[in-house]
Amino acid sequence: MTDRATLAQLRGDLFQADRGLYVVPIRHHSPACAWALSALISEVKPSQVLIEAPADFSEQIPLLLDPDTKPPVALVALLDDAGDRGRVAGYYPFCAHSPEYVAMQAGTEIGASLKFIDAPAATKAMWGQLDGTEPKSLLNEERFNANDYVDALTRATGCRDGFELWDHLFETRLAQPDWRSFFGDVGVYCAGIRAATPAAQIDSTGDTMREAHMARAVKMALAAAGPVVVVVGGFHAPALVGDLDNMPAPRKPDGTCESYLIRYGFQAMDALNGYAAGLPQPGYYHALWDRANTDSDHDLGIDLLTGFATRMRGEGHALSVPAQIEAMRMAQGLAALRGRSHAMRHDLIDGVRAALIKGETATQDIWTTRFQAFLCGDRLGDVPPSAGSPPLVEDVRRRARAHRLDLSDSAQRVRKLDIRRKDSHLAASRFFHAMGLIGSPFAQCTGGPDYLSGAQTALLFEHWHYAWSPQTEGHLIDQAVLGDELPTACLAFMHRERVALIANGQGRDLPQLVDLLVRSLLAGLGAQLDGFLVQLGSDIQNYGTFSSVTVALRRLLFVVQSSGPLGAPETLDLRGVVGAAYGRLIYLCDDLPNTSEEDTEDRLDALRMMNEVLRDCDGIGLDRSLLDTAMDRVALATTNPVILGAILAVCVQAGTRPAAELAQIMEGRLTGVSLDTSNRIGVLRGILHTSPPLLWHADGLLEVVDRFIRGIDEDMFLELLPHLRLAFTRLNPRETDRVAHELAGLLGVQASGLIRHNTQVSDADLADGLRIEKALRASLETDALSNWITGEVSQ
Amino acid sequence: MVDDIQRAPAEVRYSDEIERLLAADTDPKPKGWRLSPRAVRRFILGDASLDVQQKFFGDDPLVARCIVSLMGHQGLMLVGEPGTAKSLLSELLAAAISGTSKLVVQGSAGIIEDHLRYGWNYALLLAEGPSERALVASPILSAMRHGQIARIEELTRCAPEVQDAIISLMSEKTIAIPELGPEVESRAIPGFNLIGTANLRDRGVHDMSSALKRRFNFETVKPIADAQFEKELINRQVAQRMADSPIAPSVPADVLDLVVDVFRDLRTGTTADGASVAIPNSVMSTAEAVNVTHAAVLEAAYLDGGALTAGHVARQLGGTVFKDDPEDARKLRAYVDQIAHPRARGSRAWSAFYKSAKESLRD
Repeated sequence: MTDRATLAQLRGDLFQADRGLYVVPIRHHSPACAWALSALISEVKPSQVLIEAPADFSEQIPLLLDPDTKPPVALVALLDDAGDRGRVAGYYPFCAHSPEYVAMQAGTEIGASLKFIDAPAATKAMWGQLDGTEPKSLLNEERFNANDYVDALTRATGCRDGFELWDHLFETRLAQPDWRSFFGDVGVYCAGIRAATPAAQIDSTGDTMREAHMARAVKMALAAAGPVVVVVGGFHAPALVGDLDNMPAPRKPDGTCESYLIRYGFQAMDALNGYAAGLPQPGYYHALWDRANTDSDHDLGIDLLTGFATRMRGEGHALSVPAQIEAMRMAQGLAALRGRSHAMRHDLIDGVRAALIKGETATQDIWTTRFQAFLCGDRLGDVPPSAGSPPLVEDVRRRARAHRLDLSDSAQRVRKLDIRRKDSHLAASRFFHAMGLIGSPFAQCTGGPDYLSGAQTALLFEHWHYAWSPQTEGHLIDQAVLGDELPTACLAFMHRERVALIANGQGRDLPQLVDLLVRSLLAGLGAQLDGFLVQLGSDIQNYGTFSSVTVALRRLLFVVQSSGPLGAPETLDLRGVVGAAYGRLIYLCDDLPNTSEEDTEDRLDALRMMNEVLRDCDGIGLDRSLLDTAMDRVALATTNPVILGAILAVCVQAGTRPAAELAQIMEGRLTGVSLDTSNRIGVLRGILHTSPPLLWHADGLLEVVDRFIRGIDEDMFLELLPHLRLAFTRLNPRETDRVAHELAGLLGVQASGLIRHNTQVSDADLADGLRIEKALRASLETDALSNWITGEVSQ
Repeated sequence: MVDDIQRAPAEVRYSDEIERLLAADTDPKPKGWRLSPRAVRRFILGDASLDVQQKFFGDDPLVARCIVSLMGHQGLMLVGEPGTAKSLLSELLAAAISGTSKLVVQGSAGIIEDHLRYGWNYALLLAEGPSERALVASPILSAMRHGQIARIEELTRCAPEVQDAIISLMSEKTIAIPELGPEVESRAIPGFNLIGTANLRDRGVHDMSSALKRRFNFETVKPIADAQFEKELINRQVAQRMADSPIAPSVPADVLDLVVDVFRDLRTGTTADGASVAIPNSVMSTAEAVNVTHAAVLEAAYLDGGALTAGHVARQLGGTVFKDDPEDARKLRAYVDQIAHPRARGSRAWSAFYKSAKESLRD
């Protein structure tokens, strides 16, 4: 089917006036196709217009044509998949320049009947690999970009990809009146793509089944009344021009499906097009379409670049007029070099890139990103009120009912959940947490484990207050753009939170990011967090500081070791992130020797925390020897005495350094010459902060300290006292007691003998004390400061 | 004659291709251009029908942008990591557009304004006074006079005040020669433009002023994106370098894979399986990969007298790439411990790499 004769034959077969059949091959969202299609319909004046869209969407046609419907809008299908994937959502977006939308409008104008003819959305054939994790498009056009025929053509024309090729071949012909040769060329192009697609693949992707549906509808339409215009993706056209009888029988739907018309936006559309459907950057194609319809001969490229420059200046980015002119000259020069009559999307992007960037760039530079965002546009559509409540609201209601929550009125109700023993309760808890994650006022947790602060995590029950108030519904309608189902909305919300963190300059705040992870695990998103985790791992690798990584590592380990509410599914690679954090920590060990004064406290706490959480590395699958080697390497290079003490304590505990070395180094520090008194105590402080038992377990350490304190004079002691206190405050009462006993043992006395009790108070002392207290009270009352004594806060 | 020099200029090496392109060139040419822009593109990106081989890989739109940039008033500045074929691209562009790639200023700290404008033949100057005969034109002045492309290599190595000389030269497209008379100047004829190459990352380079930057369109030449192609390139270049050597052990496939993996991991900051890696300051370009492999081959051939193993690569990596930056040594250590170590369990090459890298990091 690749030789010239067959292709010429196809040109003739597309439009069979004698049969009353006009098969129109299109590419979704192509303004050039929309233009030619509109011309075709007004010339052919069909009695029926058939469109490749799921047949069960037909009921939405009146709503699509409602005067209050303003594209971009989308039909969204929620399918109850009987299998294990739960509910999945598919999108079918329309914008003003979509050929399908233009066909519906033009068809209505001339009184033609409209019909959607593709397989119903609820058939497996339509769903392909939808897995419910990301918004998916029902318009699959991957073949326009990844196909041997397209590859060969891009090489021959010097285009970089299928998108540029499409623009080069077809969008350049927008507003040309000859629709016959235009669609003939599109038809031949698509037939080439089809010829390079293995038949088995056409079968396995469900296309054969869909074509059977379409063929049957076309046959029925031809039997009813002609002429019939059939608007289909170019790939399917060859299947519909020939004999319509020998087609396999269409399959029955596999599940049930609800469809909704929702308002849509160019940004959402562009993201959807990232999954290979339609053309990217819809704002650009909308501008092409507008320009064709306004009949202006002004150069669109110049207008777009001017609009872009104006917006950039408005946002405070410097963009000089000469640079703007150079961008345009580049775009036009590139268009000429590439053989186009005027600059198209890629020429403009290349022009901006060449003219505005002054320096070395990464893969995606800021000016290209800005310009692409400009070309993407930010237009939002609208739907009439009769379109009903958005799917997200319905989805939440459905889920709430499934968790047996009473939504019949807006009264506040109470629910006690046994989250550790009953799966259904855990699921309800996750639902509440998910609602909380997207900021819904629906429910408040009034009691139970708090995994964010780590408080009372052993509690078995959660107590919730919930109410389905108008605010709840209003909030959900507001959030409807996030997605059609609660998990999707949660993921979109997390993405937004993350962007907000970055915008606030907190994008590198690891504890905040781990918080977000914990919140989404509680919301039951575990299976969908892969992307987030990969990003988190790379943030840790790139931005983690010694203390932030330690905190993140501790909390991640807590999550890894948790089951129940915080339990993550096996498939989630939490250990990978833990490994990344551990690796980063080891890498950062080399920073420890040069710890500055102001970082000391943070790092000291981090070292202590690290020593505690990594006690059992093997149990969590980490190679402790890496950390030990790193610690050992940096130990003697460390100048900051507090950190030195802490590192030595870690090394001695790990067994990489002998305990005797501690005493030796300590003695050196204590008796050595130092200008700064706090330096002398530093090592001791580091040890006590990290691991107090070393004071009596490490041979000779206590003797060294004792000898030193006994050896210094009164003045020196007073000078050192605050530092000694700071060092010893880390000990808990039990440890203090132990030190006292050890010390007593050292001196050969009983510990109690070390304390001189002073319980003898004479009557005179008591009287003096009472008198002073009375005077003090009176004085404070006179000054209206009596709340200093009572401790009450004055109002 | 050509056989006796190390490397002939592009217009000589590819003279037959240029001839064929010239003969077949029917597209409009900008004034002063020898080939049309489309033929220039074909010269660089290849054209099977004219038996023109592809000489620059990986970024076709970049080549188109470079050609169109040179058609305007802006100069072209090629930037990017060392070893990404910036100079080759500038040489090819000049050879195709002007028929010569020899009008070149090799930037360095020793360059003075005379090298960019003009100097004098002092014997003649003393004998005759300032005259056209005594004037020594710089490559740039020659390019202006003949409407050709001049190239400045390593512009950021020149002192800032020397770089400044280019600013007015690029805006006015003229060089005044007051020594020859009050109104004597050389105005550029059509076809003249400048291609600069610059390194913005190495230490010891001078920043370009924004006035200078405004007069150039910048293009970043990126390292090769395709791992398979990078492998072939390394293999070919190492073989070329070893061509004259009496003993030349071949590079085993698993060692070559390892070299490319290591360089790509450290260059991009992520491994193929998604683990992130700290990117060193040292340049991890394909050219450096060739250097490391070459050195490893030499070590294996002349010192060990045996086959090349990944252990040789690990040893050379320290000396050839990670020179004296303690920060980089630390990053390499993290890479060896966290990435190479687990890989060592499943692969002989990685195991040899890990062991030898561990040893050389110890001292």
